[in-house]
Amino acid sequence: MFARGITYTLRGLDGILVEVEVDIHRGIPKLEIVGLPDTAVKESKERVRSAIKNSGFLFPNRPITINLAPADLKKEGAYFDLVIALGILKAETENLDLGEYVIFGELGLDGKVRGLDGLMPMMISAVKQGKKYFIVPEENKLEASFVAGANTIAVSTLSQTVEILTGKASTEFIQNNSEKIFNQAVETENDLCYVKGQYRAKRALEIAVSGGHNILMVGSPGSGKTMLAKCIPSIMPKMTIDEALQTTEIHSVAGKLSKEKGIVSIRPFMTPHHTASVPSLIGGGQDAKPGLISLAHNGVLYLDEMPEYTRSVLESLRQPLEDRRISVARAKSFSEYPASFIMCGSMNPCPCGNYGIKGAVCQCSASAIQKYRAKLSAPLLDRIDIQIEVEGVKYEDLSTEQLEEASCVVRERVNKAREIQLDRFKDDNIKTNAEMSELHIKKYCKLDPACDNLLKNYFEKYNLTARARSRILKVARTIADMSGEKDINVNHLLEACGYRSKSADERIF
Amino acid sequence: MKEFSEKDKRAIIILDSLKNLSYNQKREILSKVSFPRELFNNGVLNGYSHQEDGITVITYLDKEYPQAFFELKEFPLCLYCLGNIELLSGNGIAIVGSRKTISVALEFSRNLAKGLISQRVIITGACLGVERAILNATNGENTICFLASGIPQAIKLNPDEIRKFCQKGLLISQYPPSVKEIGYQYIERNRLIAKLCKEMVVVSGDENSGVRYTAEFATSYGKKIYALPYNVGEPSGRLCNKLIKSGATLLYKIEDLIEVKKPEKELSQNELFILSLIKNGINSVDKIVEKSGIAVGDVFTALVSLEIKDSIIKSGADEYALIEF
Repeated sequence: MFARGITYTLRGLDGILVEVEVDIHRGIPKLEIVGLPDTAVKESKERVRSAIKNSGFLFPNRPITINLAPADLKKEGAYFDLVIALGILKAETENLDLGEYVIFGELGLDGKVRGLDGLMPMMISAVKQGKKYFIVPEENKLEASFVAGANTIAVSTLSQTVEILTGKASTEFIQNNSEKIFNQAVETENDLCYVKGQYRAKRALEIAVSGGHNILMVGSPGSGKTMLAKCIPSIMPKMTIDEALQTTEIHSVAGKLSKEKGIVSIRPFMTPHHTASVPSLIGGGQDAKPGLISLAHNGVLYLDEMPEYTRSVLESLRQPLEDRRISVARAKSFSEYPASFIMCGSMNPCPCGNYGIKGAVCQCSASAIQKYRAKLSAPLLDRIDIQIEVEGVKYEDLSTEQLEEASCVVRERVNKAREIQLDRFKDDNIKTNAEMSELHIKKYCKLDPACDNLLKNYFEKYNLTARARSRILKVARTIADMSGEKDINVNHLLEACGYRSKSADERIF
Repeated sequence: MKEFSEKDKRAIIILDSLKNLSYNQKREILSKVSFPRELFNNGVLNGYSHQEDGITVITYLDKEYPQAFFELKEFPLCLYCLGNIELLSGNGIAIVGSRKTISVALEFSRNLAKGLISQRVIITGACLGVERAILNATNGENTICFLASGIPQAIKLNPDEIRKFCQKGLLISQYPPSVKEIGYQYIERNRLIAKLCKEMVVVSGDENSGVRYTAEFATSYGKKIYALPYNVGEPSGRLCNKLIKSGATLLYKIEDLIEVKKPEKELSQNELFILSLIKNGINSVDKIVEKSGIAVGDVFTALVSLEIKDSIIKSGADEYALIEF
């Protein structure tokens, strides 16, 4: 007697169809799982046996062979339990209708159905491949509800599942939520209206977010760098459904998805500690799991105290910053994850943090300062379009009447600037000014003679390299977009020049 | 009057490059012979040779050798030069300062150097901070730069910059090519700077900075010293204040040293307004925005423009200072 059920497995973010074939034949009782199962899948037999028995069904007292096809693909995870158990029951009694259902779920010994990680990317792939009906654990109900085009049943026990499949209980599909959540207002803990003063830094953040530029803040301890950085998600445009699904997929694979929310609808803000290892940031491990930079996809990666990170970690960021995706290759697996984020870094002006600060004495030697700053290599700095210095607001400078602008107001402006960019780049396969290549810069950042002259003077005065030029132009383009102008003018260019480093013998960058 | 030949020069150069002899031993060896070329015969220089590597060597026998150095107890036997050696006979003024210097003082030294190159020869070193700022400002024109290591050691670090500098300027070192920089050599270098110059401007320095040696040497050689005044509590200028207290001339305007013509600047209305605010101590973006009500972007634009026009300079993370020297 033979039965077949279907489920999915993951490779990177792509779901791959797995057929679970169950055959019960005559002979001495035993249970065999074939088709490259890993330990968690192999142990499935014990869980399945107990779950079937404790749900009041009869476990066949005969030899059972279970094949997971394609047989050459390694399968991982415990979520094959449910489909295996249902397969066995069907092969034995044959009154179950597994039909077109794609089934996910781990079983407890008492027959309870437990949740799994990575459900969303598998369901999305399945829908793309034409599957329409799903059975998922109750725990993953919310996550599943955001997949458009899926008819999903959420189950909490094995016996409930059997009742549904035998027609004893009615089939209730869960409601699709994909539209609903995006009409809610996004509330964030941090808001720019709580930041007093710091107009320069706020303006820089607004530009960075509008054009998708990476930003580096240099300032003494306590100058408010972290607080400013935490406000970045609050001024970023609301996530679109596509963006949210992409980010959720990654969070789901990494097992970081909140079961209460079921979707990442607020832009992620990732702050790795400076002791973070390369695999934790970039992705890796035996099964090539996504790292923090992928979890920050469509959001912000905030590196506090940047020079404290190990050199290899910082350098490993260069390629994903350029390509906006990362390939994680391991001996047994290879995965590609998107990693398009705004990188925000912060650092002190010197190891002790007092260099160049009024009224503070810096204890560091000149060579120590140089060494500290040299931790950020030139190629990495080249990928950071905006660099600003932040100084703490002094108590007496705080005028209490002044009302600060709220994040939502800034966000409106950001939205407008982004729309202009989307419109401009619709044929170019990029979305923001920061992504412009030299070719795009030539095409979209045309300078009139006055601007050209100004840039020449500025370069001569500060001994700048050619690389600095394209960074200034990109930022100038964003500033022009923010003021809604078609061409870059002298004022935009001047402001853009202010967000970058000066000559080598001077202050920081 | 003794007639010295090329062979004498070569003997001194080779003797100078011997690492296992101290300066005093070398002087002793030289004092025992009437002509340095005799050293080739008595075996001291056996197995050594001098390689031509593009560096001009001036020995103490040459007429280009600055006579001022003979007043030193340990005058250098050789000076290794790259560039325009005629500058050595010029009317030298030293500009020195420490690595850690506030940006206003850096701007001052840049402007001072640019103003001076038409009339004087500027003498300085090659450290970061003030000295590097001066080298960048003059691009080598009428500039002598003293090194604390052999010349090739410095070339290794920034070949391009040095090539550019040597087209007009003079790179000079008392150390043979293979010598690497060691702390005390900076003090020896400072001594030569103090000796060669006629006057000295001390731009910055704290009490422990190497500049204090340069200033001490210059004082003991009776050179005239100018120093920039500093605010109370500014650590990078304590040495300067101390020098002024003990008799150095206070220098806070470039006109005190030389005549300068200030170009007329065209400033926009915003720029003039912001300039007047900065004059009144409203000198950060935050304060300017609150006081004037101009949009942040426009304030920023005006500030950068004023910076390019040399009217103001960024003097802190969020602070600007007027350039009025």
